Amino acid sequence: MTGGYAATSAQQVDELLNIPKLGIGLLYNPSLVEFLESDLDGLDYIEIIPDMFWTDRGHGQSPRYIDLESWVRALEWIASRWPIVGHNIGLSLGSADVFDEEHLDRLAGWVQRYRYPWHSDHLSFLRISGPDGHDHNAGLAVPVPYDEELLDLFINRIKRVRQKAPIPFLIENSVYFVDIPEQEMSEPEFLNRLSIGSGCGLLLDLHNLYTNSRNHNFDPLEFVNQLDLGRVVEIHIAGGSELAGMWTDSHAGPVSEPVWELLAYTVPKTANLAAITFEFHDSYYPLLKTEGIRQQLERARSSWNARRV
Amino acid sequence: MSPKFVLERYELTDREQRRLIRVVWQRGMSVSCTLYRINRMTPLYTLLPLTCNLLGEELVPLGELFWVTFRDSDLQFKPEIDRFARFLRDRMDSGLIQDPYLREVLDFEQALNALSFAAFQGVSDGAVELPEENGHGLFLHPQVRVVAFRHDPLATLDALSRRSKPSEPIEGEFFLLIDGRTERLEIVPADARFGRILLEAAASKAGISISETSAVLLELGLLVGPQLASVNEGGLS
Repeated sequence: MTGGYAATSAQQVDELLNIPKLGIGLLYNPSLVEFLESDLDGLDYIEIIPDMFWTDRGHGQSPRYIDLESWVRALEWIASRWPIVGHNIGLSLGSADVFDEEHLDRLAGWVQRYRYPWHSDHLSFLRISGPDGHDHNAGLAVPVPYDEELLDLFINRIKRVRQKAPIPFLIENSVYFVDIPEQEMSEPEFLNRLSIGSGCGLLLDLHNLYTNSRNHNFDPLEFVNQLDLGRVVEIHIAGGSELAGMWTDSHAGPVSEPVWELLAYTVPKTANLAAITFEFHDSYYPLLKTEGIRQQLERARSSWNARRV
Repeated sequence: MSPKFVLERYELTDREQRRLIRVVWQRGMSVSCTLYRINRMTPLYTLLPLTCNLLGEELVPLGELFWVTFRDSDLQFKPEIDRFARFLRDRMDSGLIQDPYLREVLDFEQALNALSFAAFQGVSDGAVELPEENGHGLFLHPQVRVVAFRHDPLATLDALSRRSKPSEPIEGEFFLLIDGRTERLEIVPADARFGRILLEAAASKAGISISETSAVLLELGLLVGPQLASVNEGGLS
């Protein structure tokens, strides 16, 4: 559906307009404790992957979820200082035969507990139902084909997420290392239609976009131009690394230079951008250190200041 | 193996079959497989770094065997390292791994992880309970672990933390105490007399009896009564 995003309903626009404009944030990892204790001013919010803060003992176990006490203690300290945004990894919205309502209940509980302004998950799947009733984890986010059938699946599931956790929900564009043939629509078209059909906003991961454009040889600016940027609420920026001839989303240290260029190109075109999140893997903290993180955040802030207000 | 043979096990449309056949030959498939291996290795290397250093070049072949043995993974760190530890212990018990340091290094890292991951709601700082009237029922404090070593633990762990193999440290009976009662875990060597009693208390289901030595440990809060000892039941230790 070319240009389908023009059909954004007034209610959906209002929801995106009302999202608080947070600014610049970091995806939490355990190496950040030293930085967070030293830098209260350069950071507007913290994004967390809720699944990192508990152990899931699986279907049928009671209790199924057990908080990791020391991690939650650290989170309580963070939540007393910054707004918390949830970035989920376990909904597995693209799984054909698995949708875990208990897991959704758990996430919805954390939405209330930490009063996220919004939360998000990925345009992919990682759970597959196993023969013994337990889900098998694919071990990495598996891309979905951009077909009508998958669009319907995602729309229905996101509507369910929004029912149980009635706050804005965003979907993130994923990395893919294989080209799925015979797809019915492009990724931007899929994201635009998904956003309108389900009411979700978009989390535009510019490093994922850069990774895909580099590995699959397309123009990332064209992708940005095709996307309904009015639906973009959050942007992710990160670095990566090469593996076996392909670029990967390893979150290796500082933001890749082409991602900064994409950020500078994209931000002024967004109307409802609320946050830019810097992601890095904790093993790269010795490379970045406190000063390196601060530099990344300052550079992101200069892009943030160029947004449409 | 022919694609037809593999694909006929699933209910797939013609288009889905065509997609899979074309995707499987792309170089991105091999990158995806490597990323899967990295993602399964990450919990092991993150939470059992010294064990991994000790295994050295054996780590990758053992990891591959582990993945064949435990195909289904939820990729959560704690359950994954528990499975890997069980896998290593089975191989040590059956003589397939004979590294003299592996059991104690694995015990040590599992004890550290148990304290890091366990839920201790209800444990009050410094609480010391009296044992039952007959003098039995002393247990190891739930936020404390004791690990026995047959080699000098400080030399062994120091070498491994520098990614070196232990170079014949002194053999003997050694104990390390891991104390999680404070804000940060404290690791201190324990006197052999205390170490033996703490180890016995950790293993005992009924608790150990009071003695001159255990009375000292009770006073230090390392041994506790049954009520406090059971507060982390249902946790992950």
